[in-house]
Amino acid sequence: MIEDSNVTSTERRERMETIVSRISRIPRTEFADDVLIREELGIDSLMAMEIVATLEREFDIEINEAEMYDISTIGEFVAFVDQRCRERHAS
Amino acid sequence: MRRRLRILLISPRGAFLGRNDAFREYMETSREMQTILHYWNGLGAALPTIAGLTPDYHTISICDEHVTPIDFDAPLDVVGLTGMTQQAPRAYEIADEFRRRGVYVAMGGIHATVLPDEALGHVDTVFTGEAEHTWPLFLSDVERDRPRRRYDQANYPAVDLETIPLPRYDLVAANDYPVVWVQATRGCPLDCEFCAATRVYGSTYRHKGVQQVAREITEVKRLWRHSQVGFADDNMFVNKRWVRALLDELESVPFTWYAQSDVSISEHPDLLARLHANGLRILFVGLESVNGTNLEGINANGWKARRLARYPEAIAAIQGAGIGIYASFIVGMDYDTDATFEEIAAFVNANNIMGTQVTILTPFPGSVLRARMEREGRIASSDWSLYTAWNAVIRHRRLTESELEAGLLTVYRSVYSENELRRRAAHFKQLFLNLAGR
Repeated sequence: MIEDSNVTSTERRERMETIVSRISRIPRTEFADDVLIREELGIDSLMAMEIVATLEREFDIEINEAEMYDISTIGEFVAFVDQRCRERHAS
Repeated sequence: MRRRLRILLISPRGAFLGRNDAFREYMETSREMQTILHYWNGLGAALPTIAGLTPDYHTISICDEHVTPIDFDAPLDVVGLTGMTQQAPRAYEIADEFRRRGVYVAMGGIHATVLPDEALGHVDTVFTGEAEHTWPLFLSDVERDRPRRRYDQANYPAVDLETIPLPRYDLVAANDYPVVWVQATRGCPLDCEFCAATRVYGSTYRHKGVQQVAREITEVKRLWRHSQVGFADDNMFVNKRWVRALLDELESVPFTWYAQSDVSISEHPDLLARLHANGLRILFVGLESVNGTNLEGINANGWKARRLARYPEAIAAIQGAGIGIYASFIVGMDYDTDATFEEIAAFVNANNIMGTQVTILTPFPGSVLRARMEREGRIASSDWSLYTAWNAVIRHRRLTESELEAGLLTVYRSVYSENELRRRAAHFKQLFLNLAGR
């Protein structure tokens, strides 16, 4: 799916959270910005791979796994994907 | 008049990596291995289950010695030990120390079940087999100062898994386990030559009620919100009708989980899709060998040998459903040669298997394999601390002990090399892109 360029960051975050929640089976209410993805949510590398691939499909973006190494929290992840989406629309 | 007992259940520290120094160094320095060790951790379901069988007027606690040290000075009436073979030497040290202090010591679990007389050299009472009937009886006997030396499940009716109480996971809730192990089924119809589990659970495959499993998962997730749930069952998906009923029951219980199964689940694409949708993320599968002659000797009916040709198809089906396979292989089987290590690595790499465990054939006490190896004079060591499955304790016909231990490392270094990890990551990303595009 290619998203509408008028989608706001808030709407994009909702869609991201829905996907992460479906794959991790963790309620969206637990995705506060400062929550640690691996340590607190217990999302392992296989789940992370599934999340990344699904987000790539959903937002028509590309994410290099190596870029994920420095991302620790939900807030950082959301900002990273949001930035990548905005770059996609700007190109 | 009831007598209130102070009871401590202990899971002793294990030897784990044993004497294989090169392997130990690899495990301790490889980032991938450290991740695996992090998850491959935690307490089996046995002690919480035993605690759940304990009448609530007793005081009971659980010590996982991998997490917390044992307080030998604690005021106790009864210590209950469990353990696999590699934990037995430490279990005996603990038993000796508590008995020196006047505490009554009992032991159950797989090692005590298969070698009760050995255990009785260190403990006051031994349990063989399952303890649902015998543990409450033992406590009642202790209350009356008349405990017996042995309690054998074989003397009692079969344990009905539908009616057993909820395990006391709350007693270990302070331990920060990345994976919490739960038991839903017992037994395995394959009865492999190297496995002694049938001696504990019998050959009949049984399962808990699906509502009971859902209750246990709910309790575990209440106590450990973000840990994975691991099903400790030797072969969880034998009864496909029960699996479907379980998935129906678990629809409303959000969690992600790991399980163990044989490859037959690959023949049920509808179930694979539902398992993934219901949170199954990693499946441990005992592939054992890529040599058909080796596999013929594992099961009396050649079950695994007949499936070898379909292993690649089965792996592709399971992983294609979004479930990563953690495959186990054994080296040191009778028809292995010095080419075996490369053959296993090549198979793993060619089939993009997500994770691999390779161990050395180990004649665990109680197994059919041990009886055969004893007849053939091929047991090199009965030092139980070496029975981690990562040390060579057998005499192989073609490979020396050091060749087996070095070969083990050859496989790990190949399948977990940077190149293979990168290639596999790309493969899985494509699998998930395919799934997301459906």
